[in-house]
Amino acid sequence: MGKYLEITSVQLKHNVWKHLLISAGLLAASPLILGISNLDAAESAKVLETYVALIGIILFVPVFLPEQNRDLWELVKAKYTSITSVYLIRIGFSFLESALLVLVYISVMHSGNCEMETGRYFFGTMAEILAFGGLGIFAYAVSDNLIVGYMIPLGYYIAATGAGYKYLGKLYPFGMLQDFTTKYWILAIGILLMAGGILLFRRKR
Amino acid sequence: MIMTLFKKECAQILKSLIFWLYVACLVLFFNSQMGNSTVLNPPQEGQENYYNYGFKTDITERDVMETGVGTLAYAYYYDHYVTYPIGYAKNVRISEAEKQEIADIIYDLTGVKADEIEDNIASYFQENDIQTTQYKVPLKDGISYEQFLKDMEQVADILGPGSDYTEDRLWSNVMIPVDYEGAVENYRALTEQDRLTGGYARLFCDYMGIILGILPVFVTATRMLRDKRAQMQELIYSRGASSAVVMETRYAALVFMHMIPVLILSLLPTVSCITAGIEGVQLDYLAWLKYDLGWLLPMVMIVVAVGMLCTELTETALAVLVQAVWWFMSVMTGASAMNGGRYGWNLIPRHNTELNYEGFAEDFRQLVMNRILYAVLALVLLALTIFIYEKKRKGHLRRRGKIFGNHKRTAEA
Amino acid sequence: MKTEIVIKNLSKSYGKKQALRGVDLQIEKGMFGLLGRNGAGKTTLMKVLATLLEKDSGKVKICGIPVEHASEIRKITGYLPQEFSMYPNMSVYEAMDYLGVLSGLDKSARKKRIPMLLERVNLRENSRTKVRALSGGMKRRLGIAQAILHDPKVLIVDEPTAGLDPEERVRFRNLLSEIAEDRIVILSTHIVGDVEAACEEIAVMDEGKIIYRGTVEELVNLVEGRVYRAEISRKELERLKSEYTVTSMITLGNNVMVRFLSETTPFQGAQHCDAGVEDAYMYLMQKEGKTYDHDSL
Repeated sequence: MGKYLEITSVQLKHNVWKHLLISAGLLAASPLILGISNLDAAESAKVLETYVALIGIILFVPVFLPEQNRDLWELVKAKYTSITSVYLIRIGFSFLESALLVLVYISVMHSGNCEMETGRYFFGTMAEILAFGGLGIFAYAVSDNLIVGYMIPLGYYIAATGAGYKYLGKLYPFGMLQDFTTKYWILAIGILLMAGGILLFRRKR
Repeated sequence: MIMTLFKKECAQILKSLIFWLYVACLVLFFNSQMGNSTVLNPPQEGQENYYNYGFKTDITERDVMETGVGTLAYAYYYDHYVTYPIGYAKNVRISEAEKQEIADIIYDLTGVKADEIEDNIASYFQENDIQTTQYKVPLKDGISYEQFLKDMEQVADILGPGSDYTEDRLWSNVMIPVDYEGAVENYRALTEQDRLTGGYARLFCDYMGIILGILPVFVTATRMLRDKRAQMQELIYSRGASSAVVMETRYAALVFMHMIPVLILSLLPTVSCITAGIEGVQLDYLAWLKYDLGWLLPMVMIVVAVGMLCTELTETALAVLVQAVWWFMSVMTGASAMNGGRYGWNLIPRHNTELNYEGFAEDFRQLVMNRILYAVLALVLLALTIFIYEKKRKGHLRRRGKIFGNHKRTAEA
Repeated sequence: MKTEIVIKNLSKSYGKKQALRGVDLQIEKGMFGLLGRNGAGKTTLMKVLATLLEKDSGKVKICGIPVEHASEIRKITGYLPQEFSMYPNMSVYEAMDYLGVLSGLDKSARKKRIPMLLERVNLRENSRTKVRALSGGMKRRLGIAQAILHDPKVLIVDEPTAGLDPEERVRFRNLLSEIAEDRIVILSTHIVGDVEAACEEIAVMDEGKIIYRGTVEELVNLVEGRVYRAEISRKELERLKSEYTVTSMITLGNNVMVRFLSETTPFQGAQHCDAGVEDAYMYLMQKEGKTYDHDSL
């Protein structure tokens, strides 16, 4: 147990702050470019789905980054009994951070008189965050290249903007109002991709 | 040596997975946006409608005034004021006093009192199709265009940036579908001035610009990080080739390799124009090349330059973040100028129609300046990258020979 | 132009840490060994010579060219860093070809030299092997081949034997000796055996200073006649260590066989023996350590 606590504290000290700071910065800057008060249900959903959810890419994808260097990876692998648990702790952290940021953001919107079903919108946004994150982690693991890990979820985002629900169906990431079942789909696929990514990255090296 | 190095750099890019991902993205995007589009046929008299033939280009001040005040009255009635500071809708809430101010302006301009607006809207849409017509309110006699503008300026001040009531936006918001005569005229502009292929090459640029504003940064960042990942930096640093040669050939190869698939794809709309076989059109067979080089090349140049600079400076994925933010802002701000003719300084100029040659011609100077700006900026960033590379090569910007030392941190985690 | 390196009063620091303190050194054709513990400043010195670090003060000339003229220096020097690799998806030949272009070799020169050099480092068979599939020793040899690709007058090799097995290490030294026939080869190492086997001229560095400069033989002479050997019990070891410089020891059951330095015959049972490089090196290090202690008082 102590070992995991140690990983956690190192994690906090060294890896978390940079990406957390960027995400928080992007969210904090949002009132400059988009309204977050007095929005109706559709506009609130748009802000959460097309802007806030992007932090999933920033927070989740770099999960393998600290061991990018092969020698280091071997060192870490030798040191800890289970590299998987290290990744799981990191992902757990990313999840907590993003949940926290989204909660804060939603409460700001709420106090700004935006119309929304809070629980539903929170779930929908988190599902999308995990989908972006999972897709990125999987792409990173397959290609062994962080940049590809960023590229694929961003490509998915662009494709969704361009093609819409009509083409993507259940995989449409912005279906908060159109078809809420999309959220369960992308959540499930996101988690599967995450798991697949971790297994793949472990075995590949 | 430079040519050999250039070829070797190109070969390296060609062998990388991410380059083929880039190509796949281009093809998929092209296919989803332009894959099924057909070349516009000449309008026929008595056609059901002329929606495909664009909007009237000879808008009068009267059109602008009536549509503008109509939009305002509509917003006032529903008490729903929206601005688009960068493309996202922003709901603006205004005070009772400001509402009163707006009601006064509407009354001054049209003579319609606040409580009469509802009936006015209802009767207007009994006569006009709500799907295709914009709500208009006729102005009182004797209201000049100048006075109208002054009043609208006041409204714009109340609502803040990105409102519909600046002169520019008032004009572009008027979208009057053409009738048969207008359709013929717009079509003539397409076939005579754009020589058909020009219109489609421009539309191609509009679509491809959206993703070329971001995709090259991925390939570039990967290439630049590769030296570090392969632990090859010092082997290259210690060689005879100057920093300028190393970076310039790399830059040229990246830009070249990014443009190749674009050039090939842009032939497809041209081929469609040729096979459409529309009578009496003198096709411009090289329009694709002119547009690719003039419109898209500067974009690829600047995105690659940003990617190189940020990556060389930090040796992280920072470039992706920087370019993603820039791209996001550009796409969002561009959304309000989709129809073309208002290119401004946007990295991704929009012209989402094969028509509107007039708008293109009118704003052509601006577009040229815009593209030149980014091409020059790209070269400046490249020079900066060379400078940084040279510094690093001599051991600066590094801590004990290691760049900014991420190493300790990563080792501990 | 004479093939030589002249270093005068060279200093370099990283922030507060001074890595080189007034180094004076002259190096001529042949194999030159730079010996010192980790962190002594060897890598820094070599990087300054390879133009990968800019010096703070002092003068460095390689074959008459001041080191500030980086582009000219790079043409006459070859460098093999301590840690390096190459693009993993390139074949051995492709990697050499790429680096050859960067060294300004034209096509015919590359076609001639690359196979020749691969032959020389015994990688001819592997010219189509991908870099990622090379073993540590093969990678080192490829490293040497790339460093002499442009036929430099000076070859700088940083800790080249680290991570090689004993057999490979011997072969590698021989290879370097061959290369050193018509140029300067500077080899840094913290392994005494490397220097002993391969170098005629050496320098020993400690804390950013040159503490010895001369031949291997002269180095050994420093301690000739002062090396003793004795078998003592473990209990006595601490006392012995406090009185003498111990250069090596081997445990024999409850006893220890120690080699140590002494000016006079130390005690009964101590046998006089021939001095080795290791003894001399330990002597130098010990001496330096003492002087530093003295300085700081």
